[in-house]
Amino acid sequence: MPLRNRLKVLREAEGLSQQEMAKVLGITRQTVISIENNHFDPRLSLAFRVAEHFNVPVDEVFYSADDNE
Amino acid sequence: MQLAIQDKKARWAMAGAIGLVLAAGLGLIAGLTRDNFWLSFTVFTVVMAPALVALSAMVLGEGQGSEPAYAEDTIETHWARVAGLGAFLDLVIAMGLSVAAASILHLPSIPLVFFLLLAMSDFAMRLWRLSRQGGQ
Repeated sequence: MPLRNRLKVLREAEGLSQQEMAKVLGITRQTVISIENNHFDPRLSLAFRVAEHFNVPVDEVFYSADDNE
Repeated sequence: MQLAIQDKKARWAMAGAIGLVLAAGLGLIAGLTRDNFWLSFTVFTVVMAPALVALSAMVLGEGQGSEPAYAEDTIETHWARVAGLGAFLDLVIAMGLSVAAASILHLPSIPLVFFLLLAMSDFAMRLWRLSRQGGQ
């Protein structure tokens, strides 16, 4: 099941660069880029950290590609 | 155990000294266990020195602090896992085929160093390909 995400939208709404986002989440910039481009499905721990940072439920950030947006 | 040296120049100077001493030590052992002492000593010292200097620098703090807080969540770690698994499976297949061929054809066994080089180059190429693709 392909996974999609709204990381880029949420990050840009907060005015964070990819490098800043990576530092906040404790990962690398390449990882942020890969997640935003839907090339990398993060582990559950990272998905929860992302949701926690933006103060939204996990399924508001990550969702199935089959779901209607 | 805290061995880190903060000043970069001092760190590399210390790493150079430690690395060369360790390399010379290994060269000495290699020389003493072979017929041509000076040739063996020189070759082993020169070949081992760069790796031991780099290893010493890492022990003394080179590169520390640049790694992300959750390295296990990064795509680089994912690439390393995928490349490592692929290289391991290739290694098992290559060793199995070579053992079978050597047994059936009554050929001498392939030296272990060949498989070591195969595994290392396989891992490096897989890692490079994954990083070029940028995904999983």
